[in-house]
Amino acid sequence: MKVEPVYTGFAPLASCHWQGLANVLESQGFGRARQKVCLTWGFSWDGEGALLGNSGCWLEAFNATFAGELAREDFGSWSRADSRERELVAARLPFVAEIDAFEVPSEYAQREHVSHTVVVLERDEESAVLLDTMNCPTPRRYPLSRYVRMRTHRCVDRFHLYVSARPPGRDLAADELLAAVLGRFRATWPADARLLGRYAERAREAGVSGLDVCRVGAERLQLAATMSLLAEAEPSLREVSRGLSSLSKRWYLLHTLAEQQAESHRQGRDRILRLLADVQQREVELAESFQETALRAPAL
Amino acid sequence: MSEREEETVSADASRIRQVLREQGKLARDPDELDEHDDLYQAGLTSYTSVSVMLALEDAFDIEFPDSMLNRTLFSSIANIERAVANLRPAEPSSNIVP
Repeated sequence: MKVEPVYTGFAPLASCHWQGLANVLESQGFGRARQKVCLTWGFSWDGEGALLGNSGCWLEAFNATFAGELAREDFGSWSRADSRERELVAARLPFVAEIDAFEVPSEYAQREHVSHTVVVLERDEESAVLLDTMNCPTPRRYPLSRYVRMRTHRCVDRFHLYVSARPPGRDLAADELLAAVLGRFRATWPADARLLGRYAERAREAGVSGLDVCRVGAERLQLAATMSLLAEAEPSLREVSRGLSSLSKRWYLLHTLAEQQAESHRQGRDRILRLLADVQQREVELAESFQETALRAPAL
Repeated sequence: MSEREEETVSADASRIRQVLREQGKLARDPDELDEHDDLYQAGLTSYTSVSVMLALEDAFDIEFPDSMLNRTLFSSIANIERAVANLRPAEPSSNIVP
């Protein structure tokens, strides 16, 4: 199974799976995949914990928009994941698998166990051929035992993988895509904005220990790429794209500070809360800007 | 600049390079870097810049204001020195007023 690494290089925390998937989609003939793979802007939160997720519906949005069949598959055991992988290989479908970066050439190699994703091109009873578009964009063969080790470390969440079962059935011009993205955003944003408000309130009341917001930063970064494509329908959306890049950096800064600064450090806690209030405000302002700007597009 | 001020600047520069050595995970020894060299090109990442920032705050008993928390602050040793000098509490005057 051949996947040309169209998109390579550093992918920030929680975004590498989109890079891998974009490469798989390109191999299926779906052009400019990196600018289309994530069309969503939102939040998800269980109401209690410190993890603030992204919209949580980017897969569904992609499939609905492009008649795609992207899926994330989770497994209760390695034997089930292994069985599914054999099916995919037999069907000649490359897939994006979460692995332990400890086992592959990376800044974490032999140092730290961190989740990462790679494109699995082949596997058999003896080895697996992986394409790590971020760290090493040429296919490398690993002994199967090492592949199993990197797939089954506890840093890997439920042995999950992503697969595109078939090429997307349609593509959209920039103005059609803008209409689709805007429509979905307007339907979901009000509730998502309230969710962010509740999350920030919870942080103020319960503390910032364990605050985890990197997935939001990742989604904003992906959407910045999408927005640059949508700017073909309305050029002033380039400003929104830049705003999303900047917003992504602020979310990642918040995530890193929360990770590194002790909860007991009062000044640190205050700073994290200020940054959280800052990104909340930026989200609201940029969301308004996006909607106002998008409605200027001639097709809308 | 008085001799005492020069000594302070020199000590600060050494401490900054020490922090970069301990927290920056740079590809090059900070002592080999010119003060205007790009630290990100020398291997500093967004993640390690936060580690450096927190260590600098502890080392100099300062707090970087939110407005300074951006990539420019850590783009060079000179920028860091300037920021630290601006944020440090002023030294009490050594002049005795009769």
